[in-house]
Formats: sequence, C-alpha cells, structure tokens
Amino acid sequence: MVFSSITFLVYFLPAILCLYYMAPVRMRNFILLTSSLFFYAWGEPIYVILMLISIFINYSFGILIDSTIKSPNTRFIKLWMALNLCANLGILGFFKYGDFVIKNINALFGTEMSLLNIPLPIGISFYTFQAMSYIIDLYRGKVRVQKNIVDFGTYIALFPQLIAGPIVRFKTIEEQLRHRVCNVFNFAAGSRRFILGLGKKVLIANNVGMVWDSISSMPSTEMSALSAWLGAVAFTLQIYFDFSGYSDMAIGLGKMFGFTFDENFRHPYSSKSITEFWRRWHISLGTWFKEYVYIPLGGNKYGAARQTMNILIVWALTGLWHGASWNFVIWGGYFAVILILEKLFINKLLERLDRSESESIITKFFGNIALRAYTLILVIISWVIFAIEDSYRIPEYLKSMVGFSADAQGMYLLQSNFILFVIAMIAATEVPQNIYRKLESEEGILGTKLRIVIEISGLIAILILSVAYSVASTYNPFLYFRF
Amino acid sequence: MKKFRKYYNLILSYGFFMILAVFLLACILIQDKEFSDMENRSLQIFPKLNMNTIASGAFMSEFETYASDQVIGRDFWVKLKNSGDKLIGKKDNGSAYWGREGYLFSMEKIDMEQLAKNTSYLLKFKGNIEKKGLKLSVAAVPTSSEILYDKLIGRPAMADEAVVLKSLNDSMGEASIDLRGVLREHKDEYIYYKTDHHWTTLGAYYGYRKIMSRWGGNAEEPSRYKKEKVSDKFLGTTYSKIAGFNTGSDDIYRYLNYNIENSTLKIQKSGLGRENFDTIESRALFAEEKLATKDKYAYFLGGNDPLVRIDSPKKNGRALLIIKDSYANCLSPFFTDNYEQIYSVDLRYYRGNILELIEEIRKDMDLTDVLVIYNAIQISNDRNLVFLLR
Repeated sequence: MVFSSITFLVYFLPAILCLYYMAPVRMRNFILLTSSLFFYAWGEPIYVILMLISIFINYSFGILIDSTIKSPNTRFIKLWMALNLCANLGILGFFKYGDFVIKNINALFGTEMSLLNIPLPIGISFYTFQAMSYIIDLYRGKVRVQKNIVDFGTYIALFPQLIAGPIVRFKTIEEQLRHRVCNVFNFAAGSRRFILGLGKKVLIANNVGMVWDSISSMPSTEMSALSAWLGAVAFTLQIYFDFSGYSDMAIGLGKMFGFTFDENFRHPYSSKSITEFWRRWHISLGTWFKEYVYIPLGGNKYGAARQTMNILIVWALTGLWHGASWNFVIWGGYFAVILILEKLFINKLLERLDRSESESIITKFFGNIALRAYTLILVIISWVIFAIEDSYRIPEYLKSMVGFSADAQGMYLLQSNFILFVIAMIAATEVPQNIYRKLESEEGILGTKLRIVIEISGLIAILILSVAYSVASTYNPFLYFRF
Repeated sequence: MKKFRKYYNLILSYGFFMILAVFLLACILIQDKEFSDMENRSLQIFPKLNMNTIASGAFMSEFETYASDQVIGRDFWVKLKNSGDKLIGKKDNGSAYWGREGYLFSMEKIDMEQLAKNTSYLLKFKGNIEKKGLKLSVAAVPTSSEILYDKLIGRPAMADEAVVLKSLNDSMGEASIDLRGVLREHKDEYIYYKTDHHWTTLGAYYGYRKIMSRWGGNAEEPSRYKKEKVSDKFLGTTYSKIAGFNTGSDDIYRYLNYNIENSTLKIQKSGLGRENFDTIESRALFAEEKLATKDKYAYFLGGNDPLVRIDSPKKNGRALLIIKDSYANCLSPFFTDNYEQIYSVDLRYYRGNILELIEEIRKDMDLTDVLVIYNAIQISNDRNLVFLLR
C-alpha cells in the first residue's frame, strides 16, 4: 500500500485511526502491530512472513544478548553479535543482492549461473537496518532490552516508516513505545505534516517525474544540452519531493499516533557544501552509517589516511544500500571523493566565500549564491549517476549536458512545465517555511486569524488537489521502492 | 491564547479525521458504477476474494484500482486534475495534448519493427493480387497530429508519420497514395475532429477525390453533395484520454447524394467470409441509433465488422474491395458513385481468406482495385496485416 493511494487515504487510515483511539491505551501497540502487518502483507502477502521471521530473530537475539551481558559469562557475546549480524545481513544480502552477486561472478569468471529472479521484499533495507540498530545499541548499552514482543514488533513493523523510512533508531522510540502523548496538538501537527507530504509526492514529485520519464526515454545521442539539463533537474526535484514527501507523511502519521520521529530532510537543496548536504539529506541513513559503520571502523581517530579509507568504505556501502547496481556504488564513491576533498581544503575555501557574517548585503548575496550553485551542480550531477542504472550510459548523458544546444522537444517540455518547476524550486527552499514561521510568530489576533485562514485553506487545497491527482493520474511511482 | 490554540488544533484534528471518515462511509454506502461515460471505459468492480487472489496479490492490486475507480465523485476529481494541469501551464497529460482552438491530439508511438513487417506483408500481398490481374493501392492517412501540427502549442515530438509515409512510398511506389498533399491544402477546413482521432467526413471526401484522381475515376464536386449535420455533441477517443477536459464537442456531418442516400449495407458478422450476402438483411449505411451513445463515430457503417458490403443503386457491375481500419468508415459511402458493390474487410475480426474472397466477388462483379486504407499510426502498429497473406 502506498500512502498516496485511495485505498490508504479513504479505507485504511480512517479505519486504523478509529480502532486506535477507540481501543484501551494498553491495546494500542497491539493494534499498531497488527495493522502494520496487514499494511505490509497488503503489498507483500508472502514476504510478510520474512518480516515476521526477522522480528522473531532479532527479538530473540535481543533477549539472548541482554542476558549474556548481564550474566557473569560474557564469552559468547561476540559470537551472538556475529550470528545476529550474519542473520540480518544474510537476509538482506540474499534477497536484495543475490542476483547482483551472481551477475558479477558471471562477468568476472565467465560462469553462466542462472539468476534467482527473487522479487525484492519491500522495505527490507529499512526494517533490517532498524533491527540492527536495536541489537548494536543494546550491545553498547545505549538501550534496554525489549522483552515485550508486541512492542518490539511494533517498532520493526510500524507502518508509517516501514516502507520508506525514516530509519528510526530504537533509542529514539524506546520510551515512546511505553508511553507517548496523544493529544490534539500532536494529531493536528501530524495531519498538517501528512497533508504537506502528500502534496509534495502527488502534486510535485509525480509531475516532475513525468518530465524525467519523457527525457530519459530520448536516445541520448540526440539529446540537447537543454533536454539533458531539464531531465537532470527534473529528476533532482522528483527524488527530493518523492522521498521527503514520503518522510513527511511518515512523520505526520507517526505524530497522529503519538510518536515523534527525527527529521529526515532539512531543505537539503539549500546547502552550501556537500558536507552540509549530507547533514540535510536522508539524515536517518547518514546517521545510521556514521553510528554503526564509520565510528566502529575508527572514524577519524586513526589519522587522515585511515579516515579517507573509512569514508570511502562507508560511502561505497551507502551507495550500494540504495540499489544492487554499480552505478549506485559509483554514486557513493563520487560523494566520498568530494567529501574528502572538502574536508581537506575545499571547506576552508567555502568558508571564505560564506560571508554570512559580512556586512555588505551584496557580497553576502553573491557569496551565498556561489556556494549554493557549487553544491547544487554537484548534486544534480550525482543524481544523473544515481538515475541511470546502465552505468555505461552515464558518460554520454553527462556529455550531453555540456554546451548550449536546444531541441524542439526540450523546449516544449520546458514551456509546458515551467510553472511547475518554478513552484517546485521555491518549495524546495526554506522560503515557504520561513514565511509560515514569521506568520506564526505574529502575536496579535489579526495575525493569527490571517495565518489560520491561510493555513486551513492551504491544507484543504492541497488535500483536494492531491486526491484529484491521486485518483486521476495513472502515473504514481515511488522511487525509493527498491529498498 | 493557549485555549484558542487548543480549540484550533481540535478543529483541525477532528476536521481531518471527519473528512476521511465521511469519504470512507460514502465510498462504502454508495453503489459501485460499472462504466464511466466520461472516461469511456469500464470501471473495476469489487475483486474476487479467495486464498488464491490474496496469495498472488491480485486481490490487493485490483482493490487498489477498485478504490480509485469507485471513489465518490470520481468524475469531479478527474475534471479537477485536468483543470489543474491546464492551470499550471501543462500542454499534455501524458496521454494526449491539448492544442489551439480546442483541438486535442493523442500521444502515439510508432512501432518501427512492426511497420517494417507490415510493409513486407503489403508487398507480398501486392504480388499475390497482381498475379490475379488486380491493382493494389495503399493509402496511409496522416492523422491530425501530422497535418494540423501547428495547432499544437509548442513543438512536442509527435509520432513521426512522415517516416511511415516515406517507407510506404519507397516500397510501394505507384501503389502508395500519399494523401498529405490534398489534406494540407485543406487544413484550414474542418477535416479532422477536435476530440477524436478520426478524420471528418469532409476530410474523407478529400481523400476520396485524391484516390479517384489516381485511379482515373470521377469524383463529384463538393457542391453536388447535400451536407447534413447529424450531431453536435460528439466527444471522441482523444477526449476520453483527457476525460472531463473542458472543451467543445465536435459536429458530425454526412454528405448525401442520390447514390449515397439510396445505398444499403449488409453486414457479415461471422468473420469467416462465407455467409451468402443475399441472405443477409439490408440496413441503412448510417446507424442513427449510435448517435445517442458515446461512440458516435460508429454512426458510419454501424462501427467495425469483419466483412460488410455496400450496395449502390449505380448498377455498373463494378466492385471495390477495401481492407481497412475505422478511418474508411466515413469514406466508403463516397465510392457508391463509382461502384455497384463495395466490400470492406476489417482484419481485426475477419478470419477468412482474402484471395478466396476476391474470387467470390469476381464471380459476379468486375473487381479491379483493392484499396488498403488505414491511418498512418495504425498501419504501422497493427498486428493483423499478416492475415492478408492467409
């Protein structure tokens, strides 16, 4: 089930909300667990068993590891950890990377092993990573063992973030599983957030996605620079609005049930460096890799050479996490190199440009633009690598982007989607949020009334339009679904 | 202030929930529709629920379609979406473009591989009938996207019909009748429907004239026909691709003269080409009853049947065989001035042997010409042309 479908909006959501709030408080986790399992089984009637297995394995290992830590004999602790890691990574590796491995072995050794052709279980990357965060944090003593399998199951399977994140660490949610605040403030905030996310996905992401779809099907030999750039920008916008929209819906839904998740996106396209970009994009993933891979590898504690190595490893894995294809590894590596260079010397250069402390508004303005342009161009190029899975086609696409040529179809797409792009680009910045915050801080009754009118009419407009586009569009992809 | 915020959030919360709940109730209580007139398609009804459909996921994916198809106020939502597209400056919705003066253009793709195959089938067929002393003519009629291209806003890449025509002209040579010239000459007239992919009767008339001039036959002047508007509410196939789009409807005309008015139609429904036409009841060329339905273009010859015969009062012993798609339906009546019998075969439904059919016709009539007429997109993509060689 996708959040932007009528099935979810009209059938599933109101029914679950009803059940949740009518039931006694101690039944709430159970209701969430069963409805989340139903939600998952709806999309994966068979693979839901796999998720149940994963829940059971990690729940059992949690108790095992916890009792081993508390017992006098801690000899086997590393063994349990290793086994658990193998189990989790094994499941993930088999279902997601099985054919990738086979293809590469075939290519390397000339063998002709046949592919397994196993369909990818939806959300496996997300729930596996969540489970691993629990086990590792348990081992580190950062969280307490979860002995209630319903509560634990709720953590793993919670439908708001099951399919597409954010990757919620057990730490974040540990207390909330036992006790959370369900009041009108949270529910209203959740509804607002959900509607905004819905609009981002259905109104913006799906529509700019059609532009990318159109351009990516052009033979790249005939592509003009205009079309190439238009396509790249379209994908850049699509992936942001699709993914952050989904995260917004997840966070909003969580709020409706009383959960507070961490933010996953903070206007990443306003970043002034790639380092900053990765503190604002898919924050939960970056945090996960930092906590559970980078820091265990040593982070920056063993000198520059080791740090460089660590960064490369972490980013190759980050790339690979996104998909079982080499272009994703290249994508990760691309960022690794830039991040290393930024750490080494680029960041100092950028700081000089970042004259936010400067007095002159003009230097501030141009400095800002230069920084953002630097970041955005690198990001847009990265999305080209990300979007094209046949790696050998990437260089020709990038080549098409050089120059000033234009073609009729590109001009047509630009004309046809100009307003949409402008709206999307503005919506990607902090401008709308700043305006809203400014209105919110108005103390007077008049200011409040104005804000309320704008807010309610805006929300209703977005909701109505989203339903219309959801109903009438035959095009409703979800880019991060391969995870 | 705090209390105010509390009430505000209360209203927001209940408001959001109530909207969803009301939707849910409405969708459950209101009866499901089976067909959408506006979108011209059947709507998904409640899917079968059993262990198989659940395990395979079929129930769920059909339910998703069901939920969307049966959502309350579906027509309103579809219309709203189309208005939204228009408002934001888009010129297409992924299935069709909207152009100037209310013209809608369907988005099509040409299957180049199939075009190559079809060209080779036509060539072989040409050889086969030339052995029997007949002449083949192939007319690939360009669609409005080709002739009225400047009515599109901007210059989107459309299916390249010029490539189709070139391919046919090159391989068929004299046998190919290129109608682009004559249609371009009259492009400022109402020769294509605005909301449908067909040409109008007027457009078909110009096609008829060109074909007759290539065959050395006579075509009457336009002024010799009585022009009658039979409908002004036609919303065709392209409209269905942007259902609910706020645009004017098309007019359907028929052109009458003595021969057309007094011609009759016989329809062979079996598709095997063996029914005796003499035993089939005659009916009118034009199907009045279709004008009250959505598919008004079926007014011409009642739609598409495997094999039909038009009998003209012009008793000159000559017959014409047309192998066609629906573009020929408003064209065939014009031939009643020149032929006593006009046979039309639709290869999608016809399962007989064309060469045998030709022999049958020749028993009583003088048959010299076979006309293959499709629109340029269809002639490229149609998978039934192989049956020419059955």
